[in-house]
Amino acid sequence: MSNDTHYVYLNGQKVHDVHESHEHVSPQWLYGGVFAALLVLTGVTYLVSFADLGVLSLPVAMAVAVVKASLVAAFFMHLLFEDRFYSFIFVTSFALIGLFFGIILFDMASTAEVVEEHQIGAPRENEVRKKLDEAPAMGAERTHPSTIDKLRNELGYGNPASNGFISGEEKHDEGEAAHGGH
Amino acid sequence: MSSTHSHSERPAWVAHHFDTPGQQVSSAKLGMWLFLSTEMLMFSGLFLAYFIIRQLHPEMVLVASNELNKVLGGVNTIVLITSSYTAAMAVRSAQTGEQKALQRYLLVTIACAFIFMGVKYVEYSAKISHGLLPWNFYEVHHGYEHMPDLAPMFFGIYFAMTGLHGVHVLVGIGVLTWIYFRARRGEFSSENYVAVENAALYWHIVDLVWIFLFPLLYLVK
Repeated sequence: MSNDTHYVYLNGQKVHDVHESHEHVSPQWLYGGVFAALLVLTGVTYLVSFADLGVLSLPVAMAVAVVKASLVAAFFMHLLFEDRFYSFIFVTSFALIGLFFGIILFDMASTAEVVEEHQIGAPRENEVRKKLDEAPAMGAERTHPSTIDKLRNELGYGNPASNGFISGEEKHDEGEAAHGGH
Repeated sequence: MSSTHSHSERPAWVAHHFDTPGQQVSSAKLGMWLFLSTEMLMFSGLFLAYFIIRQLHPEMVLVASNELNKVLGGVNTIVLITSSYTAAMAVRSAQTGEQKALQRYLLVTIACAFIFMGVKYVEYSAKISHGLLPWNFYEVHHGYEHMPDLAPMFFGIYFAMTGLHGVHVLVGIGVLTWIYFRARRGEFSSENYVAVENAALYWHIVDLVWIFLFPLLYLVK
């Protein structure tokens, strides 16, 4: 280059040679090894699902999946040998996904109180659906909203549209709600 | 800017607004990684919907997911992992300037993608013919009376997730085919191969999403 203070940069670093690049070529055996590991881990994924792990079934299966994904990202996508900024971007998306999942699942944990307060939710829906089973097969009517509403009223549950849940008429006083509103 | 550069120093494939080839490569890869991050965010919405459905209706998800073919799902997993391997080897071939190997690895990757879609076609046909569909397309066929009432919910998330993933596979076939024809024309060299690398990065994300999809949809315990 010339005598003026003109610098050329690459990824935030000064480079002195125009053709300077930071390539890294992984050896063939490395790709082959990661491929073999991924196949083995797929087998492990099956094993985990057939084993009797109970509550741990899902976390362990996800852990195996994370290991497989990390191998693909680090070696096949070459992140281990690349500028760390690409890893930063990729990991950030997972951090944001974690935030997304965390906030929503945390909010769902408090859903139980609201469900109790307004007499909606899965346990009651199961009773409604048991009643549906006793009724003759109705085809598409079976899961039609009006059929469900009718059954909910028969069981004395009311429905979200009429028990103040949607219109918000009911007072949300925790003391009163603990005794049930209906 | 760089008026001191002589033309012999600057490869023809470097755009005028970059000082060096390295800057162009770096810029291209940065763009692809940013896009891939948005892809993960997009799929995460469906994954969260899945986790919520599984949380609220664990028994239903267990029974409904049992209708999915674990063998075919596993075959597709192996097909995609293999295609990820061949895509990485294609990039490596481009890096070392091995043109024939580059083309062959790209072809195998594309072939794997077609096999994947073929298996998915078989699976979808079976679900459709057995009435295992989302929303009110769901039908109770003979032999499926044991299915829980909310099974349409599971099949909704199944078709949405594998459908969106399948669309990504189709787009991947298009992109990889385009890159294959460019490789045949001799457009790539050991200096100029970032297009191959970017196409492969996209393809690895397709594999990555499936690595999570498979145990969650097919292997519920």
